[in-house]
Amino acid sequence: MSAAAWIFFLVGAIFLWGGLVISIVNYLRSGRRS
Amino acid sequence: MTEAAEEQRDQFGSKLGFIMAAIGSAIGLGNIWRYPYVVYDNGGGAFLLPYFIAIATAGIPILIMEYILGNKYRGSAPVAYRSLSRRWEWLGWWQGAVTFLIGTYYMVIIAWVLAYLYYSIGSQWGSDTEGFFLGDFVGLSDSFWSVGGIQLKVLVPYLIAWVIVLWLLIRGVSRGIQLASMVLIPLMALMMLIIVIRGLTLPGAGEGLSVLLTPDFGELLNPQVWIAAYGQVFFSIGVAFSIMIAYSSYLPRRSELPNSGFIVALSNSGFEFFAALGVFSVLGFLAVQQNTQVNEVVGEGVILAFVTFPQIINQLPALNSLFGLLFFGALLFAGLTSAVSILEVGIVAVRDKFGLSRNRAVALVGGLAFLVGFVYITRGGLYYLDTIDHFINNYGLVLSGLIEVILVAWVVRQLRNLQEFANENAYIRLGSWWVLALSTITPVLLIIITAFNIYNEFANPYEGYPASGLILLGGGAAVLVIVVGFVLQAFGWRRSTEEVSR
Repeated sequence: MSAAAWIFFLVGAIFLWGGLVISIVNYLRSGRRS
Repeated sequence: MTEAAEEQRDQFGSKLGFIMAAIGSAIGLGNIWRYPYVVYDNGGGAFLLPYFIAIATAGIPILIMEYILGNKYRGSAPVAYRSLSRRWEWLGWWQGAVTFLIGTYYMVIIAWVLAYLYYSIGSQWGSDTEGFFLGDFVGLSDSFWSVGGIQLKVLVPYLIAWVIVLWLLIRGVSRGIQLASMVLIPLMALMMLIIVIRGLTLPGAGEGLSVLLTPDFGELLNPQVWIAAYGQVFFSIGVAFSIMIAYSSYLPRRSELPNSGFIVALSNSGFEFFAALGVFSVLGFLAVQQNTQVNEVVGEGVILAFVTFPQIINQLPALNSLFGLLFFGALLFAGLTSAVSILEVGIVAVRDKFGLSRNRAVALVGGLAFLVGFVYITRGGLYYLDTIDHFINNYGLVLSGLIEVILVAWVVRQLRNLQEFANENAYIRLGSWWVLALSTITPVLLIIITAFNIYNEFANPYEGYPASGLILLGGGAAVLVIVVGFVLQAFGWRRSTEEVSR
């Protein structure tokens, strides 16, 4: 895999999966209140 | 008093149940078979920039707006839009009719997936996978208007698919839709994980991923790339289907909504990015096996799933059947959780307005969709499915989504009220960005997309199909759903607003 492809893999992973993790942590920290 | 008047409104069993059902709805076949090609075809890694911007300025804002509409007015789309303004109930029925029509052919695709799950055992498609799919399986006729008879190989899985989906729908929101999502979505994610890991360990995977992700920054100046990004986000997250309005109406009053929107949208987009890694790593493998370039084997949609993937499975060194079962199993689970949400839109709408019991509403909506679906299991069915899908997406979903945001932001001017409603219970408060995205960015982009679609329709007739087919079937379907919207608005309400939202 090319270096440029690696960089964009990381960009996608950080934004999409990182954003998802933050929103799940938000949900868990709130005590899953509705 | 109507049948449903004495029943309490259906409700999800938990907040997690709602989130999983919404993720199950958003993640569908398109995440696996459409997104990877869209990235490849629109600048590779560089596409991620417009894609992220589209998620932030359209996908998440519209999704949250639909959650608020459903939860605030505690009803299906016709109830929500009618609550905004009595004259706009038809918009909810229009979206409901669009979603219903999508459901009629979505069930046929699920039937194909079910059949291919069976054909995976021993790779029964043989070496000519294209000939098997188009010839033996769907039995595609020679020309558009050559309808042919019912294709028995599709009919049997079609009946099985409907039995499964009707069973889930009759069980209701918490014991059917929620339960299916809580079980099938984690299973599907696990199956995709195995597919991606296997794909990454195959020879040629690196080449496939390089083709997917190597950026072409010049493409960022191409307006079509930005249109593709907004189109992908719009269809993929599933806004304007009025599914999310229906689902959030099944939440307790004043539930937390914005953070749920972020979880659902990012789960959907995170999943499709992940799936793209798996798809392009195995496409790289196929290119190596066929001694050709990755560009020569890439594809999307029906052909990717039912022609290219069987080719890939044929070429695997070991456990071919297992890989086939995993791939078509993942497609099946993604499809089923979306199909129930698609059909639920019509069910909840007729229940809200006409006061039907769940069983009767499922029988009415499901029975009608089942009958209409027979059009697509004829030998000409693939032409009709493809045509109606194209028109109903471009002139049903996009156009009704455009009118939806214009209605809320500019006609009834309710964005600030909806924002205040959501912020009362939000972990993430909706700021001015949300209002700006919905009042300006989203409508402008949806107008551009619609103008582009209309121009393209005349410049390049879709797939080269005959004008009679495109106008009668495609245009006819797009107009029919609007007419249905107005006709259903004209009927009187059998239930009061209090009965609906109870």
